[in-house]
Amino acid sequence: MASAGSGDEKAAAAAMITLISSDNEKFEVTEATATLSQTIRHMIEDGCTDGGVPLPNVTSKILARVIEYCKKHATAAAGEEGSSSSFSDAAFLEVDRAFLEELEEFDDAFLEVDRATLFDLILAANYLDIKGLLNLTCQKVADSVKGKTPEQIREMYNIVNDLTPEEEAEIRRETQWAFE
Amino acid sequence: MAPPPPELMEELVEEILLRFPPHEPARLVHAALVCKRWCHLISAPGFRRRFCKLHRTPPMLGFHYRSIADDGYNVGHFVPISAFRLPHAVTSSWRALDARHGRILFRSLGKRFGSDIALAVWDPITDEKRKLPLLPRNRSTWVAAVLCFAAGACDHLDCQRGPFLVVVVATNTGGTFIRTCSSDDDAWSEPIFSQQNGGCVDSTMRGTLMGSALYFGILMPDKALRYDLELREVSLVQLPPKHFKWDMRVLTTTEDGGLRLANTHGSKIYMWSRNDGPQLDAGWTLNKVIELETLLPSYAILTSPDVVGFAEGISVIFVRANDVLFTIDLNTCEVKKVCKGKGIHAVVPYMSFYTPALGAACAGEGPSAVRVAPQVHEVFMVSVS
Repeated sequence: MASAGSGDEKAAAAAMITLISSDNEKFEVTEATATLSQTIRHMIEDGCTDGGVPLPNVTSKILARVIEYCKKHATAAAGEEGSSSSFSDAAFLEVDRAFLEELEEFDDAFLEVDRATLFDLILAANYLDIKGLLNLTCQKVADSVKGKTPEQIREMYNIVNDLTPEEEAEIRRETQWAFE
Repeated sequence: MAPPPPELMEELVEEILLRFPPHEPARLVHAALVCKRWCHLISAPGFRRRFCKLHRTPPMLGFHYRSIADDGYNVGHFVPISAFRLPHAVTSSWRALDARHGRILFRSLGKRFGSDIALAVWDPITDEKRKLPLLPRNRSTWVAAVLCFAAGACDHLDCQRGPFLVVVVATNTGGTFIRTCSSDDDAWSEPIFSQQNGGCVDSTMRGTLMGSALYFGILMPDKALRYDLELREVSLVQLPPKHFKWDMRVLTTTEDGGLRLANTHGSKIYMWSRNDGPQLDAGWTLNKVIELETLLPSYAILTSPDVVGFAEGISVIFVRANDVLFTIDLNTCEVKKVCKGKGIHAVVPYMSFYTPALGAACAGEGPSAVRVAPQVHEVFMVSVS
């Protein structure tokens, strides 16, 4: 297994980390990809990634998707750092815009999943502490209830209404403007 | 039979609710009706803090303006933006003067106040009102501002229940001076005079907050008065020498927190920004000219348009043209017609986060939940003039 080079930046960038899913599948990823996860970043900093990083809360199916996201966004982050010195401002902005558009398209396509997968991605993003992915997936759920009544939201997400009719009436009375 | 939809994991519900859009506050209210847990999450004070922190810039929930009614008198109106409604009505005899950090500063008109200035600070979301001690007018021209007491030392994300400060700038034969009154005081401060000889405060311009200083417009000579809230000192700063001082103008801030002057002339808006630098005579740069002829509908520009307001922090400008009020988003150039009326003036945008603070149903989980007694508000008397 590859281990981080001693102080050599290039070697460190190329260092590989092994992630092990709950169903024991192994994924080799670069350190740059893995460290989009704050949880893994801390493990690397503490030097406890030799022999692979077990992720007992993440299945191979979900981990593969998470890695796909991290690879794309790690490239984006590296591109931003690398290009600022080699382009003129205007050219940089042009490249930047094109790249951001591509990233947006990637994110949109990435979210084309069923609801169960989306929820698993949220759980994984939360556990692995990947801010961008957590934001993206939670925003997708938040957007999905736009224009929905409380009843429709309950149906969508299998939630039992435990508010009494009196409590519901009271909330509606306090916030009458929201129902006009 | 289709499998039941997956359940939303409990620990992540809050992460999702936090991402509801702040400019559509009704959606959080609808979500609170889903179940007890959601209601409790949304009503918790911690949720409000996290919601404000995540979204950073409060949305414009509405704006207050005055127009001239058929009988020739000024009437105040509140216009909501999106589905937000003020839970408590605004009395038409109130004159909104300023709004900042979740509070609106009103002047109450009534014969019993004589020529004195009766001001009140109102939180339209909790309906909490606070009357300030009467301020003798002494034949002055004046303008007033409200802000969080901590001014530059606060991120203003969730400070609207905290102490506030009201600043009045007035000019009379004795000169131009500042008086302040905070929510902790029962009296107005002694006047703080400007050391420099400077004209008269421009009562048509709202003040703007930049860092820990408030800026107000001054007429003849054309300057802005800067009141340093920490040092409690007054100084004068130059305005752009070539701006059109006899046309409508507003002082506000740029996206990166600099001082900006927007000024209409003919069919154009000229936007100046003050160059960085601690010195008071830093120059100005004309960095944007907006041609309204191409932006506004043709009926609107039959008369020359006037800039009448600005929403700090979200780059939205208010333009009055032919008895119609428009908002223009300076970043997207999106134009919206927001209201109609004769002689629209004193446009005061109200910007705040709204998260519902619901009662018994959401006050806590289980039988140990204690309902917090509603705060007793001071009764605010409004006499109709």
